[in-house]
This record gives sequence, C-alpha cells and structure tokens, in this order.
Amino acid sequence: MEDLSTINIKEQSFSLPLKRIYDSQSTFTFQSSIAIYRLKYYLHKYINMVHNVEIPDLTYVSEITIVNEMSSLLTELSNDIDTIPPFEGPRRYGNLACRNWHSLIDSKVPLLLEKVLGCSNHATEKGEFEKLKGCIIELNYYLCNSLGSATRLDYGTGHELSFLAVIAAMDMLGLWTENFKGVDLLHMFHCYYELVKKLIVTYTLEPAGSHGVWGLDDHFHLSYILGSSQLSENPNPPFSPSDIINKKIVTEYMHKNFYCYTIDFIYKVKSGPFSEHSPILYDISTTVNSWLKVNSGLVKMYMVEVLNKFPVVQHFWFGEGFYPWKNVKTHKLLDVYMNDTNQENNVFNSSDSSSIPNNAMNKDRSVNQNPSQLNRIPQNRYTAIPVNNRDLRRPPMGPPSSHGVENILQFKPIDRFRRRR
Amino acid sequence: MSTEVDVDVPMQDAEQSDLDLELELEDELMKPGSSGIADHKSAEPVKLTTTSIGQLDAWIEKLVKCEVLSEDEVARLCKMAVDVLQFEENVQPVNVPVTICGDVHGQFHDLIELFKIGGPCPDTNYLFMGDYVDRGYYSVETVSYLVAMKVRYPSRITILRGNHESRQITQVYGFYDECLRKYGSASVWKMFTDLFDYFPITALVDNQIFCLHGGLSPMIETVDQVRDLNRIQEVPHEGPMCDLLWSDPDDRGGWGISPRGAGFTFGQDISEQFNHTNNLSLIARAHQLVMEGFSWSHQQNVITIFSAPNYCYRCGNQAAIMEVDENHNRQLLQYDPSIRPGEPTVTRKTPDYFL
Repeated sequence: MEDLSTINIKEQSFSLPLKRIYDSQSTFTFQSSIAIYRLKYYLHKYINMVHNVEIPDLTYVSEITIVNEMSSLLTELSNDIDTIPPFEGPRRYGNLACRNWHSLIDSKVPLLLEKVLGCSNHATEKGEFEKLKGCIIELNYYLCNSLGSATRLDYGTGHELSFLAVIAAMDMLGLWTENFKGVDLLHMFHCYYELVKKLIVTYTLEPAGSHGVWGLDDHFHLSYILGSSQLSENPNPPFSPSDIINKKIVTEYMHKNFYCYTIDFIYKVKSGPFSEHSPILYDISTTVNSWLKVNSGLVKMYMVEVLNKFPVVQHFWFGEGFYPWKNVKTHKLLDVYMNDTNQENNVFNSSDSSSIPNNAMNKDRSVNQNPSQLNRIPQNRYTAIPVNNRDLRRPPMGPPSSHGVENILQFKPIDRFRRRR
Repeated sequence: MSTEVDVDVPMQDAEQSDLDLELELEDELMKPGSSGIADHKSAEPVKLTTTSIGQLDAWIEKLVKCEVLSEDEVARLCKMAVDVLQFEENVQPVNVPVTICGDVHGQFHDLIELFKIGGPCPDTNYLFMGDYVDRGYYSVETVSYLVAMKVRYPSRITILRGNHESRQITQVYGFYDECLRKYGSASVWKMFTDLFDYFPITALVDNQIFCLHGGLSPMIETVDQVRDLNRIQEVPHEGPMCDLLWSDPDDRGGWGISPRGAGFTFGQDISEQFNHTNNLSLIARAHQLVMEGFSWSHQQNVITIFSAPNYCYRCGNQAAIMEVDENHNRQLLQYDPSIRPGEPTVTRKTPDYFL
C-alpha cells in the first residue's frame, strides 16, 4: 500500500472541508476512511515522540522557525481574548462575548496561517508557496474548529481532535522538518492548551456533550494520552498513577507533564471530592499501576469514546487534501448522503479552490435570509451549509419568521443515536 | 459502555459475525419493556396497604441515607410505580400550593438540601420537571428516592419526564454506566428506563401554570392537543412529544432551529400566543442551566427553573425552586450546594479499557 502518511504539495489539491458524518452509520463508515487512518497514524507517531520528554517552559524557542511561528499564532489568539472581556450581568452560562472573539479570529486565522506557512521550507520557491497556500482552506477549518463552538459556547474532545488534525496536517506536508522533536510537539500543544483553558475560564464554556462525572474529563482526552506517554517508557517515573490524587504531586509536575497539567485544571475548576466528580480518573489512579497500562487503556478508550462516537466526530469535516472522505484501501469516495449533493456541486466540481468559500457562504446567506428556501436544506437539521466555513449547527442569525412553522416542519430531524444497519 | 466496534488496529475490518451479534445484543438492550416491570399492570389504581406502606417507608429510610436499593427491591418499586404512573395524565392536574423544581441530574445531596429549603415532603407538595438522572454521581439514588416518594405519596409529589429520562440519552450521559457500576448489570437501568415511559410529560397547576421539561412545540397549539398524545413510549426524535421535552425559549421571535439538534427554539410571540390561547398565566420549564437558579423570559410568560447547584461540580451556579401558594403568589427560593462532611464512600472498579 502506498504511503498515505505524507502529501506531495505539488500534486495535492485542497477543498473546503464538508460535513460527512450524520449518524452512527456514517460514524461507522468514517472508521474505514483515509482521514481516520491518518489521524491514528499521527497519534501513534506523537505518542512515540514524547517518551521521556518534559513539557518545556512557555518561553521555549525551537530551532525550527515554523514551530515558533505556530506557537506565536496561538499566543496571539490567546492575547485577543484579553481585548474581548466577558459580558457582565445576568446570563445563562456560556458568555456571549465569546462569539465576538470567534468572529475576530475567524477573520484573522487565514492570514495568520499564511504567515506561518511563509516560514516553511516550501516557501522559498514562489510557485511552490502559491501551491502551499491552497491548503489554508483546510487548515483554517481545523484550526478554527479546534477552538470550541461559537454556537453552543462549548469545548470538548472533538475540538481537541481538530487540533491534532492541524498538527498532523502540517506534518503530512513535512512542514515541521526532519528536526521535529517531541519537545516541539509538546510545546505547541502546551500553547494550544493554555489558549483553550483561558477560553474555557474567561467565557465559562460548557463542556461539549459532557457525560458529567461518567466521562474521563469534561474537555480533554489527548492531553492524558500525551501525559501518560511522557512517562510510559520511563523505568523510574517521578510519580506513579496513584500519585495523581495527591494535589501536591500534581502541582509539582503540572509544568512538566500533561497528565498533571490537565488534572491540575480539574482541581482548579471543580469543587467536591475528586473520587466523586472524576471517578474514572480516580479508578485509573487507584487500580492501574503502570503508566504504560494507563497509556494503552487511554488510547483504546480514545478510539471508541472519541473517534467512534457520533456526537463527537459529527463536527469533524472532510476536505480533499488532508483528511479525505475516501476509503483507505480503494481510495474511492465513501458513501455520501443524498442530501449532500448541494455541497457536492458546489465544491467537488469546482476546479478553482480559492473561489469555494465565497460560493458556499453566499449560498448559506441566501438560505438564511429567505425562509422560503429553508426546505432546500437537506432533511435533517445537522445538514446545513457551512457558515464562515466553520460551524454547521450555527442557527440562522436573522430572526426567523414568526410564521415560521411551515418551514420548521419541513425539517426532518435525524435520529441522533441511530444505530448502523 | 460502547457497543460500537473497537478499531484499535487501524483499518482492520471487524468480523461481520461479531457485528451482527453486537447488533442483536444492542437491540435486546434497547427493547422497551424487556425488564418485565409492566407485564402485570393493574387495571385500576391500587390502594396502598399497611404492608406496602411499611415496605416503602423502609426503602425511603434507606435511600435518604444515599444507600441504593437491591436489584430485587428496585424491581418491586418500579412495578408499584407503573401502577401509579399509568393512571396519571399527559397533562397531570396539580393543585396549589406546590413547589416547582427543575433539573437534579443525580446530585442527590443537593436534592436533600432542596427538601430542607422547600420543606419536607409530604408536608410540602412538590412538582419536579424532569432530568433526575445522568451526569451526577448519584442518579440511581436520586431517581430511586423520587420514585419511592411518588409511590408512597402519589398526590403529594408529581414527577414529570425530562429529555434525559430516555433509553438513548442515558446510554450516553452516564446513567447506564452508573447502573452497571453500582449493580454489575444493566437490569436496573432497564427497569428504570421502562418506567420512564410512564412518567407524565406535562402538568397544569390550577389551570394556570403549564409545567414541562423543555418547551413548546410548533405542532401543539392547545393543552388539549397534549392530552391526545400517546406518551407511553421512548422519547421520539421528532414530533410534539420530543419538542415538549427538548425545546428552549429564545430572544428571537417565532420558531427557530435548536442548536441541540432536537426540539425548537420559540420566541416571546409564541409563548404569549400559547398562554393567551390556553388561558394560562405562566409556562414553567427547566432544561437549561441558569446561573441564578431561575430566569424569567418572554416578559414573565416563561420561567426557567434549575435545581442542580454548582452543576457538574464546576458551574458555580445557584439552584432555585418556586413556591406557588394558595393565592398564586410565587416565591423563588435560591440555594447553594449542600455542605457535606468528609469524603464519600465510592465504589472502585477498573474501567474496561484498562484491564
């Protein structure tokens, strides 16, 4: 089988990522896609890269320019939060000021990404840089999607997955260079998690689809995988899985290890007995005795609870370049819903990828503004056309007609938990 | 507990036969009524006997200490509850005075705090608007306690169905996992989810306050239309019954598409029209976290009540309940998380992935 883990920028075309996962059936189809193959490939690569590596200080400077550029981008987005303070006064939970931050970064991320890509070794030749810029359409989607949902004002493991997709996508192009080390990877994830933690705390984001106490964590899963990988090959780890219920140990190692780093965040945002608000982490700590076992268990759990869970992966979309909705063996397009044909005509038949976002957005606006066209949206509510290339489920922003009942009734809700047949 | 295929090894196709077997198991699990709690329903309301009162009091005494009932006891409790709830209406009439409460989500100690704030049941009448299970650590204890109270004092407490009182939702958001962990099998989960089908979906307080978990439906214009629904079923994915349990009020007028993927959003015009048509003074609903524990909307046509303080151990919200007295005066009581001495005794189990 050919090497699917790399992409030749000279030959690859890119397209606006589209929603393909609508239910358990398509979640199942996803399991045989090139997209998931690549996500798993890079997850395993990164697990192996970080053995015995500690998180560097935030002031860390890599010898790879583009790593530093990527960290600066994340830091800039984080600084933007300071310019948009949360609204005061009575509110539900998620702070609406977060939407302003999302609008701001939606408008600047493509430019910031262009700047990052400009530092790559591909950028030296003009023609090649032009080609490289074509991938921004996809990178932009994954990066924006990794920062939580502007509609629902939440953040969860699906968003975290999207950040893995960004790092892996740039890896496919060789942008991280041959000198890419575990410490660089941990550094970029560190900058990312700092940004996300600040978002969650500042705008009180809800845990996306939280299982409450019955999930591993309200927001994160990858960070536990990375943290346990850091220790899994260490014959004398500085602390054992059972130590993480000791707050002191967690505080001591939180700057060096992602497992402690993430648990420290739980201690900060949650009150009450740890064994009660985080029973899964508590059970892991008290019944699993090696970091290797913790790590392998977390990876297995990730494959099922994140990559194979419809509520999570429904927000993972697919472009032609990095994460194609194609069968990993045959390279043929996987099953596409009939009601995707609108998207199909818009995007896949277009030869000029740079015009795609405009098309899609115009189409989207026309749908929003004219309620009579609502029934042109495919039969379920998840199937809308991307708004600002990012969140499918963002509801129409204009006030819906108060006589909107007829239109509403055109929608055929999907069985959110329908099982495959 | 996922029933999906584990594809740990990239791209290895699952054996088809395994798949079929899993589907069969899953279907068996999902089959309504398989717990047998409703196999021998009574044809008419059953009066409590001295024996059954003694039995219920013993269970309540156990539950109030946050101890779970045995599987056999849950089975007996659920059978008794079916015979109470099957005779309630889709729009269950409730008299004043009554104290109206919102989501609890397995926060058992905060539920006990609620009864301290509002006054003990049965001296105080209560109306709960659903979402007893999922997310919190004590869903089993919470729902067992409320159901036991319902059976013991049927005219003193009303328990409506929330969107989480459903087979599909509880498999994702914790109640299923909790039952497996606390009982070692899914049978208690089956009994409770079979029982949920019998919960009334709305209540009408003194013909004036319409109470339900979520909100209005574009397919429901009158309260009578709710009475016509067949509610004894799993919460559907669409249609009026689904909407009543899933919808949310919104600042925008008219009907909107809900970001939740089920139910709709409805504006002030819709609420006003509904209250006018049905001669109501208020719609009381739960379903949404609100920082103060309650939140008025649509110019006091709608109130949201949320009764799980510091939701999920982290949200820092207050909880609230609403007392409605004989003269229809309303008083909102807010409260904070209960203060608990010491660490809880928790069951420990190695999660399957780590075995």
